[in-house]
Amino acid sequence: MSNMANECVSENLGDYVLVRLKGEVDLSWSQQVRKQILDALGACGKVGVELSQVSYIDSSGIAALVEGFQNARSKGGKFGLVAASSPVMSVLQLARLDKVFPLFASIEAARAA
Amino acid sequence: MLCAPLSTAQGAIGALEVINRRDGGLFAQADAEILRLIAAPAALAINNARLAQGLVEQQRMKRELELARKIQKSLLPKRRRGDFPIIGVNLPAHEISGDFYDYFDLPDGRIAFVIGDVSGKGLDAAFLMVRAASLLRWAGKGGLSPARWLTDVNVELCKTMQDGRFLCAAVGLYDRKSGSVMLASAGFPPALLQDGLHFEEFPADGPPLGILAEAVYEERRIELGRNALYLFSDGATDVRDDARNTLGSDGLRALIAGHAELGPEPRLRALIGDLKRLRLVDDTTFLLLQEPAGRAAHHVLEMQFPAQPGEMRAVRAALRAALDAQEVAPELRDRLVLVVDEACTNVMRHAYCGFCDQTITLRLSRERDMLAFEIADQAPAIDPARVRPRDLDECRPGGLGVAFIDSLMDEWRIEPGRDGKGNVLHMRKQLTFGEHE
Repeated sequence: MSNMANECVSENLGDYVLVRLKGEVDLSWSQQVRKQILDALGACGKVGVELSQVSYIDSSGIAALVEGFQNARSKGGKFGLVAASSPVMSVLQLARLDKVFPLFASIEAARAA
Repeated sequence: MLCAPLSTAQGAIGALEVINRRDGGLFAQADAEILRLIAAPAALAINNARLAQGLVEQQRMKRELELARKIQKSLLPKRRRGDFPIIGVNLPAHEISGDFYDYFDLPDGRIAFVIGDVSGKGLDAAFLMVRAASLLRWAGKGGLSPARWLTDVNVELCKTMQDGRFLCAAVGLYDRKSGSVMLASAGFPPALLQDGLHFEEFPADGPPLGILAEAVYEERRIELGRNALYLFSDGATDVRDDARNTLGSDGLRALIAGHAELGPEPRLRALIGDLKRLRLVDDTTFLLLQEPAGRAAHHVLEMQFPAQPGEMRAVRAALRAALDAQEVAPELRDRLVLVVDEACTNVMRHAYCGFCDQTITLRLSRERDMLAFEIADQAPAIDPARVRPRDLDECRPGGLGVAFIDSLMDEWRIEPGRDGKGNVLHMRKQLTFGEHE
């Protein structure tokens, strides 16, 4: 999993935008991740970030997620994390954010929320 | 009546008598000859039977002594291989010994140790040794301070001690993290601290155990560091040379100094060899406390890289591999990688302020179970007071990196770099093995 290429792709599912993240989210490209999340929130009130293929995330990546969460809340939108991998969960726990973000096991569950 | 001696090589063991011939007549000279002929093999047979019986008895005794020896030996702790800082040796002068030693782990990670020497020899001394050893172990399990430990055991032993017997003992606690030993001695020969060719002696802190119930014991702190601490029963200094002169404390020091360049285990083995070439007259027991050789800090990883975020992926991979080689559990490994990454990117963002023509140096070393990280830059000096962890309970982006460092590491600090240039972040993390999540 650690040799995976970094990738950030937004998928429009009608009433829902899913941002798929892959690879190691660190300072070298977390600004790009941040922009993509904020863009998605600009286009749609319900955004999820899919994290099952993320093998590493640092505090700048976490910060991008926190910013998305706060942005959605301020506009009355919805923001959730989908299928967070265990490296991501571990960092969320360390940052005590695992109880802050809405976490969903699947895209279906996230869209239904 | 006829009579013939039952003679053996060691003299007569009895006589063979024949009385009152059945026909009422007198015994003839020929009868006497026959009796003498019978007496010789009879004496031999009786003698052999007695010797055989004695031998059986002797062997039974020997078996029982052997059994007693085995029981005594089983009371001594098993030798611990690998990274353990205490080695014990017991050389009994006879089948059974009045000496013993013991060591065991306390729940808080300190190591408790005991060495003792019962006065007198033989079975009763051996029995007292068994009792004293179990009493000392039992009392020491609770992690009492050494002085209190001796005081409690002394009171108990005084209740039952007989015939002027007593026990010389030393007990202590060794804290590997701080490298210090707390030691208390009840009439035991002085402990010897060796720093290369230099020695320091620590005499007993009170009288032997089992004499005076009111006895008071002191304790002392010894900074062991990398040095060696020897505890030995008086058998070690009572060793005789060919001219029957005792070795004494000076002689023992000279023997130890002769092997100063060896590691703890080979040094003790060489010392025992020396003593055996002389003549052991009494039970001899050694306890040697020293951190195993080659366990000093060693470098695990050192790398210098451009202060650019794009470098971090390769740095993380290298660090991950280095921590795997140190057998750090995966969960902790990933957190350490995260913390180092955070520290490096903080340097890029805040110390270098985004200018990336400079480098960062990452060093990882290990001393026993302590990992030490060093992250050095050449940026203008920063004010360490301004680098603080934020409260994790507030939800906001940014500022998490220092919080991660603070929550994971046992210790961290920022210092000016060598020759005043740049900054060095020092971080330490103690590994705890055997607590696999």
